[in-house]
Amino acid sequence: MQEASSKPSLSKGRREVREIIEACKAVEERRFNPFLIDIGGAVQTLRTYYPLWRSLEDYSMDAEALKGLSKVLALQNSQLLYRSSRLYADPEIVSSRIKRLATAKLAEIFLRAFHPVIELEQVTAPIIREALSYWDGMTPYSWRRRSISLGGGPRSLSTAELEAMGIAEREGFHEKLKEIEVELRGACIKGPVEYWSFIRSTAHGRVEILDRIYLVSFLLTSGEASMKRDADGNLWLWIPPKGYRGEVESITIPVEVGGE
Amino acid sequence: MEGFADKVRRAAVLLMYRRGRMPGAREWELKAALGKGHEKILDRLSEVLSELGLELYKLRLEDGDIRYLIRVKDPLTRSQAKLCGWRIDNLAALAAAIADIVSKQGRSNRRDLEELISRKTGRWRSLNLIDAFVKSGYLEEDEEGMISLGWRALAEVDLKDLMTLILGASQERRATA
Repeated sequence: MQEASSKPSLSKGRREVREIIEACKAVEERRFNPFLIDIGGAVQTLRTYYPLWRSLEDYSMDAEALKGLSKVLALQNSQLLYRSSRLYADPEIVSSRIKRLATAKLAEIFLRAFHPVIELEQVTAPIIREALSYWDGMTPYSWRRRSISLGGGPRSLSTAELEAMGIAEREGFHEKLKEIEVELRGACIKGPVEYWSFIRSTAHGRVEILDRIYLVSFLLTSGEASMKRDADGNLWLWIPPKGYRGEVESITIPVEVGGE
Repeated sequence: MEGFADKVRRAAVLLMYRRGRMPGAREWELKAALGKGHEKILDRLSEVLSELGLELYKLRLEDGDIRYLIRVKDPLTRSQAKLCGWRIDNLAALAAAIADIVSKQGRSNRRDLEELISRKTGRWRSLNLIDAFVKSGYLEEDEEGMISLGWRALAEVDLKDLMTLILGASQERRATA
């Protein structure tokens, strides 16, 4: 690991951090001894270049190097524990010993430490009986093949088919909005119409009432219709003239969903 | 009513027949199958096996559970190993792989292992052998190409003995190849 020079530069910093990452990776892959890495020096390098980082890639690289160093530290710790155990053997010595030993001698050594597990894989009478009954009950493949429908591949669906499947509605939202606007304009020819009587006028059931409330709220928000409250607190719908700029007030109308 | 001797026989069948990926049986399986006093039944089975040159071995699994296995008690001779279907160079390759992994604290790079084994068996054979060892459970390979010891190596090989024997082996008979 190189010591950071007195004048750190971004490119040099990136190169050195990349070197740290590579070294840590080599240790993780057991290519280097973990004690070959100077953890203190590497951390100092990261500390020196940290103020220079600008981009996300730089910070990611810094984090990767730190993660690699922490893994090296963990490996140093486990190696110390391993060295204190009876299994410890220097990998270089073991490797050279294996290379030197003749194949037959190595096999002989192995046999002295080898205790193969006993296991039986045998067909028994009950297994054969079970297999025969399964075989007898199986439908011939040619029959099964006939019953497997692979489908006709992807195809387009018409609007009518989508409506029948319940995926598409017969009327779109805009058509419904237009319809209720025409209905409201018709109702307001002689003057303002009471809000709840308009909502309930043609609705059958709670779902349709909610549907009409939802659509009217759109007309009110877009300015196609307007609403006012009289002295008794009743709400009235009316159609404002084009270009009408009245006072805008937000009104909340409580709707009882559970009861009639 | 099943007698004690019947239970011992049942335990032997449970431990010898391979039902899933691994032979043997977990402790809870034996408890469930043999009921109360399963330890006594296993002790008796161990005595019977000992007379046949076999032993009941407890393998501690990664999840902390114990798996009981039956294994050969005394080391095999070369001719016995051949009778079991082992080739001498395959045994040597397995010994080299296990020793290398143990010396590297339980994990070794596949490339290093291939290189080490290829010295004994040749390049292509080393690739096939490592795959075969992984498949049979002696070795385990992760997505990064790191090889570690599999359940079978832990169950069948006395690692301390193997390392001691390799390090203490006489180098008189050096490989001439």
